[in-house]
Amino acid sequence: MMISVSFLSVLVTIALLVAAVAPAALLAFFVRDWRNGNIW
Amino acid sequence: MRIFATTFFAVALTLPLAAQSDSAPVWAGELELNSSGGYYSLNWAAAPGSDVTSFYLEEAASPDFAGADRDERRQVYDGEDSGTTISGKADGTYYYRVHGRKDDGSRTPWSKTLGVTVRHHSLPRAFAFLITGALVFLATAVMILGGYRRERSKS
Amino acid sequence: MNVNDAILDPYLAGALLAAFSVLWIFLGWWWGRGQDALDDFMLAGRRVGLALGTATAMATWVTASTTMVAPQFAYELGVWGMIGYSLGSVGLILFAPMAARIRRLMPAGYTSGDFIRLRYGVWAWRVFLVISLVYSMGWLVSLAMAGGVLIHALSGLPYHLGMSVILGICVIYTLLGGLRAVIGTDFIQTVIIITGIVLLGFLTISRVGFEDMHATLAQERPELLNLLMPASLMFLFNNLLFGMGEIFHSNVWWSRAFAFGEGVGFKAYLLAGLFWTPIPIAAGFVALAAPVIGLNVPRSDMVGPMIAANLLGTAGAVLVFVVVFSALASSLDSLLAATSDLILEDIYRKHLNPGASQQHLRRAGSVVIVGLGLLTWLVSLPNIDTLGKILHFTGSFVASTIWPVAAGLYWRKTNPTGALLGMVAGSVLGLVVYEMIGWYTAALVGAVVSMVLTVGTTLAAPRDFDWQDLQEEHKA
Repeated sequence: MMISVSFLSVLVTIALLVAAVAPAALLAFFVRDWRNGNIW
Repeated sequence: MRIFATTFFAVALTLPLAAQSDSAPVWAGELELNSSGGYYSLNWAAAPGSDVTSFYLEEAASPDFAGADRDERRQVYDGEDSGTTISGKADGTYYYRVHGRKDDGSRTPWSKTLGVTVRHHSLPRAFAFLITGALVFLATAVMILGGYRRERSKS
Repeated sequence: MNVNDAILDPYLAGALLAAFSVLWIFLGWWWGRGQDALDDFMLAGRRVGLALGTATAMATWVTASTTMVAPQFAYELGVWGMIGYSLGSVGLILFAPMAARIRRLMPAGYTSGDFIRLRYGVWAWRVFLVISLVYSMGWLVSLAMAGGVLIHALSGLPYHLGMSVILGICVIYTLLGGLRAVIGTDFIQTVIIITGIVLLGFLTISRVGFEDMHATLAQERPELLNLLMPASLMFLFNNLLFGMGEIFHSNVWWSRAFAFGEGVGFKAYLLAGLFWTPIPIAAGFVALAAPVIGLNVPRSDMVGPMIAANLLGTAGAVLVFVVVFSALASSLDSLLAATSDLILEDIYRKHLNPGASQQHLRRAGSVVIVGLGLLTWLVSLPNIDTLGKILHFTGSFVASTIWPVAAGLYWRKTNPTGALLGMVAGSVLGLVVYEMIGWYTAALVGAVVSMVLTVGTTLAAPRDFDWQDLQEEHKA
């Protein structure tokens, strides 16, 4: 059962977008933790 | 006279051998390979003493390259590397041969033919493993999530 | 381009190594100041926040394997290769509720060993320790060797140099800064790793579109696009269960459960798992561009760096080098810290010197880290290929701990003997099928056997347990 071009492109694009969100989210959490004195 | 003839033939016979420092490349491993995942690597080397600078690798569906149609032979690789990785092949047997090219543009003879038989695992067997694994995983997940929900409802 | 040519100039590689070494060691020293209490050193004061918590869980689970093997899997096993690898995040996600429960049940706990000992008794504890230490050493050695091999493959720098430098740096900053240094550097390394992978991914798409990728694969390597590729289907759950076993039992993850602040554990592990999931796909799919651009791949484990260098030149090579180095360091430091915790608490304190004071233990902890680093270095030095692959053998071992750990946390009546038998029988039978059938069955069999024994004995002979017994007081 061969996957289609759309399947491949959607799969990879979503993966890249979610992965791209990660560092942004981590940095945002970090700033919030810092403000609350809650880094560690 | 006899001595002369013997010497003559001896020299005549060795001359082509001496000139044949453009002998065919050799495969690094076995001439018959098996693959159950559709991927395998091919490795070759220039014959010792030959001054080959690049290689040309060809693939065909039958071991009889010479008889096969132009269309049925496929160029796989043309360059300086001594190996390549093939992947994603369906069931079947694939034959390969490689020749070397020298600076002056001349080629060495073809190497011996190498055959790779690709036989994927049977699908029913693969599904058996898949389903068993899925069941174990689900049982574990259900147990953990059940415990998690119980804990949340308590507190 | 020949794979024998390193993709990165050795002097540049050496400079990068030196620069990062200085950075990590400085941070280790800076964050390590004033950390004389055992709880500070081993568990970062038990107050780690969400940002650092999530990052450290991600960074530790992203090993050099993720960045190098994901493209290799994609190249050999196709789409399922990538997706299957992504399912390794399931272990992290399922550990989220477990991490919260661990902290709640054992607010003063130190290691996974503590839990097994208090929950199941001395013999199950010892079996568990054997499994843990075999796995930890296997992982440590494989990381150190991978470091040497990768640095050599990428830059031509000698194996011994690369391996020693990576191991040495990690030992030094872990020694100086304890878990805080590990977690702090993990945060920076996570940002580097993901940014690098995402950058390479988007650049690959812009150079090589999906249409071309699909068309070339369909013609030359059709099975890579096949959702019913038998080899991939067979490996799928074995790998998932292997990952679950690794995470559920290893002190690397338990120590974080103890170190995260209250309420942080669940969210940190859940987020880490969700964010980790796309990484094998993002890192792996670039390998599928190789056939399109006509890049020859003599060794499939080098396909990732080769693509990066081909598409991005020296910048790509530097990117790969930095990402791989960060991935290695972020796992090595966690493993050094957690394994030495296990040795310190479960072997030194509990078996050899129960009356030791906290200060004494703090000093002993440093000795253990150095000793562990030295042992790893000695074993990795000869670069024996089979040693680097020991980790593969541990599939049945670690998978056999899944049910004993999870059922131990959630069921009050789990039978301790069943848990013990489950770990032993699961490990042994898994090893047997590893030899007789194949590696892709080991974790599966280990998990099944252990599950059946744990559940069976618990149904037949349930044993009551008081959760309060998990709260053990240590004298200061």
